[in-house]
Amino acid sequence: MLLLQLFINGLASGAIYALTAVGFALIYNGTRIFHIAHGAVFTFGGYALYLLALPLGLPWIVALPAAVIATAAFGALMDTLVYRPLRKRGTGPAGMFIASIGALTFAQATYSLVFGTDTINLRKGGLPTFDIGEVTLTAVHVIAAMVALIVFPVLQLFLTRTRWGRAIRALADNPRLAVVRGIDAERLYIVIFALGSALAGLGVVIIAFDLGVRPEMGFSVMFVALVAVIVGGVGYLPGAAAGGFLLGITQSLSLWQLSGRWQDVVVFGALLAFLVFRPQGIFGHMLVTRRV
Amino acid sequence: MDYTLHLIVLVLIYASLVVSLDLLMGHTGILSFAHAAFYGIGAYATASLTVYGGWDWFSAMMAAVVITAAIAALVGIPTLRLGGDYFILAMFGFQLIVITLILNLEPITNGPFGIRNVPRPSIGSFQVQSGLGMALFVAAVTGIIFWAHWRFARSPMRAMLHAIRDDETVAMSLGIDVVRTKILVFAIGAGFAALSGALMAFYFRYVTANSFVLSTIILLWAMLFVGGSCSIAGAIVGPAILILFPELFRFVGGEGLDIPNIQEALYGLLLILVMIFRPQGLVGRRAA
Amino acid sequence: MNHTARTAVKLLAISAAALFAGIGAAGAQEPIRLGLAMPLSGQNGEYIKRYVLAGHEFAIKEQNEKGGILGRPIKLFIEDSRNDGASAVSALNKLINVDKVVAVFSIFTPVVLPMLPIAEEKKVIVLAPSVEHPDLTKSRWAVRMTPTATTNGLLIAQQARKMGLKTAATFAEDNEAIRVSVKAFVAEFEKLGGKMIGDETFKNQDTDMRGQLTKLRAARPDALYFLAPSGRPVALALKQISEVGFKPKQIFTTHLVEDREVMALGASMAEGVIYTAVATTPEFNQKFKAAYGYDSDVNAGKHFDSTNVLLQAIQKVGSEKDMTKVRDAIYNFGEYKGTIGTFRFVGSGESLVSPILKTVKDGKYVRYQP
Repeated sequence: MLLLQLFINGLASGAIYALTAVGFALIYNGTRIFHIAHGAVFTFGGYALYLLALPLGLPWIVALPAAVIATAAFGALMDTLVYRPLRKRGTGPAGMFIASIGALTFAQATYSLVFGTDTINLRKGGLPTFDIGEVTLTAVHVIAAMVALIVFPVLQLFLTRTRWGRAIRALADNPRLAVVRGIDAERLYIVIFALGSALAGLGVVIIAFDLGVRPEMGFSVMFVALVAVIVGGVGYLPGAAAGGFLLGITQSLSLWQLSGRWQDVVVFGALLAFLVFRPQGIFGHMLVTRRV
Repeated sequence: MDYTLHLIVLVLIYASLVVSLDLLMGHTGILSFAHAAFYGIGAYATASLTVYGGWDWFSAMMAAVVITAAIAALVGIPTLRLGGDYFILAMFGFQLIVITLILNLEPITNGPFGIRNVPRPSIGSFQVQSGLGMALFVAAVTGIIFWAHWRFARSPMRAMLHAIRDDETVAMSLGIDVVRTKILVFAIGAGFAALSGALMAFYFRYVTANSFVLSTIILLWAMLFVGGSCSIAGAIVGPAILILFPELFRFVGGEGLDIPNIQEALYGLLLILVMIFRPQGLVGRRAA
Repeated sequence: MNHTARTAVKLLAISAAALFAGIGAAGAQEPIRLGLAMPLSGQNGEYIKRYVLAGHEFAIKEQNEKGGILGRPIKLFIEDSRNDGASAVSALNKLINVDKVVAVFSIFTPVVLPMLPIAEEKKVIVLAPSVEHPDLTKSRWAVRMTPTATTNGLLIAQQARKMGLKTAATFAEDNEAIRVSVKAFVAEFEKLGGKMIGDETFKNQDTDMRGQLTKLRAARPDALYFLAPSGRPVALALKQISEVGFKPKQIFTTHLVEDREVMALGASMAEGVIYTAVATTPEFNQKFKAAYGYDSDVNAGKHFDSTNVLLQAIQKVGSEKDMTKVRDAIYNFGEYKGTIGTFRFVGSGESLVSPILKTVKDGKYVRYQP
């Protein structure tokens, strides 16, 4: 069944978009920083995985989690080196955003200089596949789905049941009040960045097996992640996840009737429609209508 | 001589873009990701109307400005009334949509291969040739753009925009129709960007979607912040530095080095450092 | 003006002065001045320096050792065009106005096409031997020396029918030059009695083609003609074709299957694929290897050839002062025996040359023997 296969393909790509979108949304909601450099953090994870697995020769079982941790650390580092000095200066969101763009550009160029611009493949040949009836699943499909099924509920539990999770939500809701109530904002920012970056790390290690690692890989994923955030509703994490899946599935299903050349137009057409008719997205609960 | 003129033309075109970006960002506080997209729409409209539509250069250029301003108003109406951060996302999306449309609407844009052989401007039967002629033409048009912005900087409008930039709520309480003003400024800024786009089309005689991608808007911001916002001098200093330095590399040599990536890395670092240490830029009057 | 502003202006003045000094230093009139504007940095920089630039330099070196052209040495001015049109135009500008070259060698459609209007204005010949885009030779100052997109499509269609394949599908990147190949293939395939049952496209930068491949798998074509303008989509497609379980009787594509992106993924993914290509003569391979220490490739050959065609045309005309005459000499050259085959110039910048068919056998790229 062509439709079913396309749907499954879309679910898998949607999982990666969802992971990246939620990571970005977590950081954005928690810190109000438009952290577009999230794309560079994503890519960092890919190179970290490559370095750990190939030249350093660590077994996959070690390299994979290590790469995710490295990505989390890199995200936190970016907060310390770039955003914290700006916060101290009292820079507004516009300035933060510009600095984020600077960080993204710098990181991407550095990856190209250090690793070259050719694709770095983590393995030769195609992925292992399983056939279920007429539908073919690749290992990536399966792993992406499993990861999403586990990670999102865990994240939700973390945010609602743990102390840190609640602190993050308090900070996201009303930063000044949260600080007044004794929340250590700076330390929490590091946690938020680490968490959001870890999600990106999960996304990239899955995709790196499929497509290899390239300097600009984070860039393209960020584009879709941003669309997912808009579609799902800015300010609502499950919305970002839903947006990611929705986008992946729509992109894939559009192939059923249309030729590949219209895929992008469908996605961006949907974005435009949302922007014009329902800018708060599908689940728009929290609309940011004032600048902090 | 032609080579020097070429560099001057490049600096002028970018300066004209930066000064209109400054109108949006520096004066009104509108963080527009879409400026390069409007530049692109202006360039493509000009090229398409002259090459495919057979229009004369002047009408095509004017039409391009009007079309782009109209598109900006249409896009601005639903998005500018929402918060600044949200607006950024929307402009990001808009810019992507523009590039995708350019690459897909082949009858008017020739898709990924761009439009070639845009005619040079002409007065009667006298056609401006490259070199000094084009440089003068570009200088004249950018001169007009600069003059318009300079006049604006001396007008009461300026105070109104600054009020919006500094605190929208207060501005509203002063009786300023914030949303309508922002839409107006957004459309005007886009119109100027389109004018710069037309210049680019006439000068290079070739438009391609590649010139309006994300890295272009990043370069424009770098130019704005390095030069300094709220400043016409800044709008010239920024592009001058960021264009002349890479060209210097041509004479210094440096083969074997990956120059474009080194440059990109420097731009990125520059943006970060400028925001941390000197947000008002070299000659600007205000931090972002 | 405040202090910082003054410093900025001083910095600007120094930079400007350095620039003008650099321009002034360009002097000397004696040698025959040729230019080269190609992306020497970035993604393809290494490859271009190693093979393409080497091809030109090799030809020039050989000729200079024989005493140059018209008794004068040949000098090649090299500029990095980067990968975009604006930088390419800057590079061309410098070559023409500062270095005073009479012809420019270049590569890649997005770099070459923007150069053409300026080259035409200044009467400078642009030799872009390996550019396949049809619009290149619409300019009366451009030269191409590679099989065209149309020729490739025709050859594949003929081969497909020769092999008795009845149905075919195309899967190609959505761009102008490639569409020319697809059109030529489809027309010829149907003319020879074949039936087209699928036509899918993907966009530049797409990484997931599984959707389209799934659709094609459902159509079950005998032959699949796959086209992309660079190595990475070819690598991705080959990988995903096997993952999706799509097994047409025969896959056809272009020489890009030899690209290092495909090799990085494992040439075995391309096993059995038939593709259009050109090949350099053993004599050229030998002398190139002797001079450079590594094997040559077809781009080295094409660019080597284009240099010699230009030089011979200048020799025929007797001077490089009037490049219109040199351009006409090239266009009416007739037959030229090059390193990748025999070219035929019959009145335009299009030099007709035939591609050959190659295949991947046991992981190696070899000539196709049915």
